[in-house]
Amino acid sequence: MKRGLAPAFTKLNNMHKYYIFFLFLFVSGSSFAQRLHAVYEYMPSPMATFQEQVYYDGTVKIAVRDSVPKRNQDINKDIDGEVAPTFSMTIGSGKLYNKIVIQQNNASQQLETRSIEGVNYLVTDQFPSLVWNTNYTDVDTLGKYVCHKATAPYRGTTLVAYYTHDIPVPVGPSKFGGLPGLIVMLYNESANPNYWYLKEVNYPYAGNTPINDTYIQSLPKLTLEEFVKKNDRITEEQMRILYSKIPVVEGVNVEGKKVRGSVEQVYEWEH
Amino acid sequence: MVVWSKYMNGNINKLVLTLIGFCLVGIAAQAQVTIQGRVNSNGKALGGVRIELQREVDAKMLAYTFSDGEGKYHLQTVQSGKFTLLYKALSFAPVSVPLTATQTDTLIDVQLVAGGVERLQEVIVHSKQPYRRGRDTIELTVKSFLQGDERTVEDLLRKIPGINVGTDGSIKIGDKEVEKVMVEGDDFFEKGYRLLTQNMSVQPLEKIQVLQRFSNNKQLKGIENSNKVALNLQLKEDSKAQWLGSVDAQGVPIGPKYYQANANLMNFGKKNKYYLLGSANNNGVDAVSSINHLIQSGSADEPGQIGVGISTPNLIDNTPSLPGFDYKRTNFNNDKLLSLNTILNPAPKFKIKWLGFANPTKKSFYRNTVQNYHLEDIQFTNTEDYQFTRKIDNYFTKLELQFEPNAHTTLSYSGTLGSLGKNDVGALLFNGDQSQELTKSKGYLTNHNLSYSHKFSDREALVSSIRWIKQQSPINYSIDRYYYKDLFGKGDITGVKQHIENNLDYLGATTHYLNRKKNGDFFELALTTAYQQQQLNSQFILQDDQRKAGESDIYPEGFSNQMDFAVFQTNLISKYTFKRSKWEWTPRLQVGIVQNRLTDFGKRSHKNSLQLAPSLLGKWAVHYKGRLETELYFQQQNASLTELVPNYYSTGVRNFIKGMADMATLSSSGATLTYTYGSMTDRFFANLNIGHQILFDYVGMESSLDPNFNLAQQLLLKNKKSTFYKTDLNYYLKVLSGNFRLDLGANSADYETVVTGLGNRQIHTDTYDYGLSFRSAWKSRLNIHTGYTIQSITYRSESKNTLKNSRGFLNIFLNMGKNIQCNLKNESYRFGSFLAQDSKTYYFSDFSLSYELRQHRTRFSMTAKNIFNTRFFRNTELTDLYNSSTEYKLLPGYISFGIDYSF
Repeated sequence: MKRGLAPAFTKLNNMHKYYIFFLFLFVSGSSFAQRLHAVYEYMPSPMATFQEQVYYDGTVKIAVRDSVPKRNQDINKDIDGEVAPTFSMTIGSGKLYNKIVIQQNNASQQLETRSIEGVNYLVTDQFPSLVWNTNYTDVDTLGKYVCHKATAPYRGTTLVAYYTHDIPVPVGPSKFGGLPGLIVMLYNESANPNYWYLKEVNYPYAGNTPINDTYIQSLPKLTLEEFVKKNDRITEEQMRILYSKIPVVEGVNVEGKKVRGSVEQVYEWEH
Repeated sequence: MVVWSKYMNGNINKLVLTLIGFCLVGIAAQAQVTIQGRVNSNGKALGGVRIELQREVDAKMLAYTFSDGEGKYHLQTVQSGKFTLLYKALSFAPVSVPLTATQTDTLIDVQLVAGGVERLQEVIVHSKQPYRRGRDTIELTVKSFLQGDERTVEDLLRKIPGINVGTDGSIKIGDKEVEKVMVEGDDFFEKGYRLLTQNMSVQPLEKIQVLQRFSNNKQLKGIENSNKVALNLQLKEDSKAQWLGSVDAQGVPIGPKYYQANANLMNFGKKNKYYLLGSANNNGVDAVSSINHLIQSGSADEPGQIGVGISTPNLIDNTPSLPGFDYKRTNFNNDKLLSLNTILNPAPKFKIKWLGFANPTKKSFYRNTVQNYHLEDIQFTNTEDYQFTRKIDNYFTKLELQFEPNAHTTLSYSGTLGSLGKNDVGALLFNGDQSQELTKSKGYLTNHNLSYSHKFSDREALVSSIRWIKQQSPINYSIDRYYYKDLFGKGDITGVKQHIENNLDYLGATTHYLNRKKNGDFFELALTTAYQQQQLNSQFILQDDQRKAGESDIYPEGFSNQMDFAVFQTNLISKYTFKRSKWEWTPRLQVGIVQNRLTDFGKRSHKNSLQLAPSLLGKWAVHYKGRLETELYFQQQNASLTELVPNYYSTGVRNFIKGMADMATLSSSGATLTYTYGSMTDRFFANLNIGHQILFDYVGMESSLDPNFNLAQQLLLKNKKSTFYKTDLNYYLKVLSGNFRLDLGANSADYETVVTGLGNRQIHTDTYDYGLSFRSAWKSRLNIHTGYTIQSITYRSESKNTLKNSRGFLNIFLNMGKNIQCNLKNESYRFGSFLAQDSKTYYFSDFSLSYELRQHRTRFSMTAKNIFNTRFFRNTELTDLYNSSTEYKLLPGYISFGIDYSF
């Protein structure tokens, strides 16, 4: 497999080599004997819950988030909403993709797949290292684990994580990790917080990692800055379409400030 | 692999440099201890091992790291003394190494052997979600968002991710505007929360709660459907109540003296809250509208409400109705308002809310009407010159008590007491004859509601209410001239007067059960019972002024009433919503038993009936951009008091009206269909509405027309049919960065009216509306909104009459930097030609400019109203009996300057 892929490497520029290298490492195994599998529930809003699978082999972490939310019946029985909310969720996204994050221990660069208007991209993120403040005495028991609090500033918001010393892996959901133990719960301080709850953990894990590296390699590639700017342009256009249609309120001008519907609010290049 | 080693080499070089750097720093300053080494197992490098440096005394973690792919690690600390190094990884037995750091650089290599945690297979159940207080409440600690430069609550909200504050102070969570901003669960302002958030200091705040799917009734939270969002500000335990507020004033320095002034003063303590408002103006603004939300609390569509909107009918109303036109332009007023509000929380479960206001106001308007009747041989034209002045003296107080004996139960009481005084003077020139019309009313109103809400579980709740209303709205009406010689005969009559007693007593109770099923289905059952008694006593009197008042008064027969109408009604309403992901159906059935009793001058008549009202509501997401809604209904309802008044009473200078002979049950049926394509964020967005309605029984009118009077008798007629179509198509044109909107509408109706002498007339009426508008969303400082609408109304009976009116507008918004905003609004109205008058176009233009000095909490403004100084405005109207044109006098053009200061 190494040989089969090697000629293709040389055709790509340096940056792209990194991507494939990460994948490669994962596939070929590493110094860590066994793999760990964790399942998180991700709640970007009270209206939806997604499942996120995290695989870790001691060096590379891969997080795969489902493209469609869990069925309401499966999560919280009191979720409601008229036809509209379920319905509007499908508007504007003809195609949906799983979201994949690939990260290597200690490496600042992360890879993720993200999509705009039905097109999936492979995005490189020069991830700012998380400086965790673990100097809290707060302890909470989540499931059977005694969890410790830690916080870190992150792209315009503050992350609050609860991790357990009992599972000594620097792993967490999405792009997050680097704490002394597995993250059991994580959220960002916001009026629209995104929550992750650990639901399941398996070790050693013998199952497959459901990603297809050939497919990921074939995706158009963008840096995070390029992707975010492209996405912002589309969001801004949508906001203008909305503004041009909503009923007139006397003397109101729409604020230029953007509120991003994710954890990431302000990027490094926006300072 | 070449790439990897390069990468690693780079890293190692960096590491070495860093180490040297650290050593130097260590020598120069405090000793910094660096520990590094390798982790192996059976001679193989081991990555992903956690290495933790603990202080030996208390096992406090000083530093931690994970070994890399080559098993290497490196840690450092500035602490000295005794440490423990703890190596831990899954599948390996933990190893701890005691260490006394004496050297600045310590090298420790470790061998791990298999053991430790070898297997994990767990499902983690989070018994609670501790950092959300319930699924819909998000709690934010204020201090973690403070950056030091915040002054007001609004400044703080701007710093919180997920909250968007508009330039006008509107607050949005995501895309949704908040319903209210409460302080410790108490609220005065509802949507007018800006007054609070822009003035209140951030100092006393401890936490901000974002309440999603907010319910006004706490016990219905999570049960009723709600998309509302609200904010709740929690204050620090030791916070001191502070007085804050704002004053603003604007006036015209030269020319006509128009002014407006407002003062707000408020104090929000953890327990008690006070709010004072004073307002005065003579520029047409209705001051009391600014506290409407304080007077009416709770909306009619909330479960468990009864008696909402019940009041005595308004029998004589001379105020102008100008649909689609800014009434402020015609309102020559002098409004004054003083309002005091307080919320007290004497105990944690007990809340008292009190409101009182006084509103001494004077309103005037001037109108000049030409009314033209042209029905076969009934042909005449009336002219009315009318100068109207109303003095209002309203005093109103409202008390609300809320008690929560436990977390699932709320008991609330609301009581109002109002004294409503009106004194109208109308100077009338009717067909050239001068007269004075006086209308005096001194009414009072009291309204009490007791409500009990109980939540059985997360899915089930019960709301029960009982309401008592008593209202008296007497009217004394007079005209100092006798216009009715053809009706009552000649005589020595110099004037007429009418006294009306208009009373209402109401007692109603309801109990409403709500149940949200596990699969999202929703069931409601309500039982309501109400007793309503209304009295209408009227006496129309012809006065002979030659003798002493009262001695020779003439009471014409058939023009006085002594009516008592009592309705006892019990309804059972059941409703079930079947909810699936793509569709929902709601069948609803209302069954009622109604007992009516009408007493006319002591003569009683009864009618009992069974009334049915079934309906079916459906929603269907047809495809991912299309949504269909439909409603089918059949309805039976009671005739109202004014439809049953046995004898004539006067409602103005030439109008007499009386009700129909019997207590009919009115049946109707209809269907509507709405299709929505896309959403507001799509380039193309469209709505289509179609509806058809049949009134099997309806209250029509028989008019007996004379230039000096119109006797209108209400009749029960059959089968009035109406149909409507309405559509709006929106398209965002990228080239112009703006939205084009096309509005098309059509209404048609077929019904009957009766005119004495002409018999029954079949009327067919058509209304067509066309509109085209453009709204820009340019990135530039300038934005526009412009459009033109045309309305055509046709009445067809013996002849055909058509009226075409149109309106155009151009609004320009200019944002000249962060603190300066201005806008220019232009309107034109064009009325079709009839009554031998040419069609005429009226132009209006208003300009406003504001400059804000945020750091000084001050805003300056300049307003220019009615720039073209249009002094008169002629409006035209077409009905099935007549066409008319009315000219109104308008407030002149003026330029005012204002200042707004917050403290």
